[in-house]
Amino acid sequence: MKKSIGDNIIPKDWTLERGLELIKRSGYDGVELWLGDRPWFQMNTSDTQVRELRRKVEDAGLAVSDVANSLDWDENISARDPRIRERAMRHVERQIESAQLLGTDAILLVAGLVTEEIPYNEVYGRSIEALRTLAEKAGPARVKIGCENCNSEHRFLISPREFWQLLNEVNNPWVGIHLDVGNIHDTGFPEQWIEMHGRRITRVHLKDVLRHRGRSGDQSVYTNIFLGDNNWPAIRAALDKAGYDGWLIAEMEARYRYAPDQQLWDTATAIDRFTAAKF
Amino acid sequence: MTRRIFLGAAACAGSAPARMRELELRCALVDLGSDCVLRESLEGFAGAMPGAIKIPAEQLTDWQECQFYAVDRELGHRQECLFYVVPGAGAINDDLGLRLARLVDREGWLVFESGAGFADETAFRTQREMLASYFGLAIERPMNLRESGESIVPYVDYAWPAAVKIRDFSRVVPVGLAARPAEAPVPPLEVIGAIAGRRVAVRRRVGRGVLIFLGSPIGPALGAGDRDAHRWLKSLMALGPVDSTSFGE
Repeated sequence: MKKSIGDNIIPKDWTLERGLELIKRSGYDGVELWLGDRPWFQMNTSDTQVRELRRKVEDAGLAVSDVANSLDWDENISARDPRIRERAMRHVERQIESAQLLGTDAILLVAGLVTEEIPYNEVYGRSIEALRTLAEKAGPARVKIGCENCNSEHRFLISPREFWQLLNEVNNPWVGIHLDVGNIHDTGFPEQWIEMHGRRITRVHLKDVLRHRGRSGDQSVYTNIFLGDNNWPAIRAALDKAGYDGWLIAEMEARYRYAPDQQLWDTATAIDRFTAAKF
Repeated sequence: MTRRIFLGAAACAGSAPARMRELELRCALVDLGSDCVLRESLEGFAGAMPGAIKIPAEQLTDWQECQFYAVDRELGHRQECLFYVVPGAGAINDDLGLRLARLVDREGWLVFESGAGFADETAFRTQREMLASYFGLAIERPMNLRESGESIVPYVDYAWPAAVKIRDFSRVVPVGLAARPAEAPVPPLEVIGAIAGRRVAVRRRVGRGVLIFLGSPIGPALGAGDRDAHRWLKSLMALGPVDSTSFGE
């Protein structure tokens, strides 16, 4: 398994080149690029600039593990407003195009966002319709769409079986799950999600979670690998059982107040230990 | 080569799918009635072995015919079972233990799935005595691994007949390696599955056959569609008649 980390971990006042150099030096094989998050990768970034982005990544000795986006929370494929939906479809399509340009075969999206205003059943129907449409673009591009399980964050597809049912209804091999083992909180157990989804897992996000605490204010429930309540030996065994041998992508929320680069070093060490199953 | 192995080999000489179909028809699922303490396990095995003959334990004979006809259904050339599965076992009386031992000795495979973790103390004791008397096996008291408070990896790691991981079923029956009937030495016990450092699945030669003891039920995993559980069972059935090669000797 190869390890990667998102470019959104790069301190805000750093250049991309400096950030990539740190990612490489701290032991990662790749980087997850977030469309819409950092100035170097936006919706108006041209194809030429995306190619240039790839060159910088490769010059640093890295590969692009996948293309994520930070736009789904404002513009989701399940929105009621057709104009917002259209924008959401466009940025996912741009992810697919960029993935091809960047030499990777997977993207991440948030498939549906339930709010007080937009109920679950509406979101479910629109998500399926949108994913079927997007799959028609993803297949010929040979890019897998990984719908991330955001569970309580998007209040949608809370259980592995719901997610499984959605993927069954979409019924396209180019649409799978980008599994985040830290997002399941109190609503289940990541090892069971891994087991249930198996070959449909496109990528894996790693982070730990402090269960039984919930989110309050700006206090995150997420923490560094091995500091929370996830059963890491069980997760490791489940990945083996599922035959997953792909990218492990750190998605760290906790930032270090001092020496921010330390987060990358610590996380890389933890992933190595996880991969080696030394607990 | 014994007559039974010869007949088995001859009957199995067709294509691989045909051979597999035949082997599926040469299974018996032993229903212990009220002593099957995990009915869902029985159902799980029944779903995974549609060709198996389902037979109440009290009707089990020493020459148990199966669903497979070697030559012609009309002429009635029925064959003997090769695989016997006893799912979710609770109490087992001495008479049934003896009949199972005789069937195994006829070059059969016996998969004995203990449900002792879900049975009462009396049932556990009868099962322990039967396994010790007829199969030289010493089982330990059922335990709930989670009650120890330690964080466990919830899979039994099987090494044979396929290397698979199958979710544990909460309460397991560990097997001791020190099982020794007083009267005679017994073939070695081989561990085929373990969880959290405990041996919960073993195999042992018994006469001309093989006993496979499962201390963590897999029938429920079969019923839930677990691919590894199905792979494990299919790999076992694919071995065909018990002989030295199928046992990896």
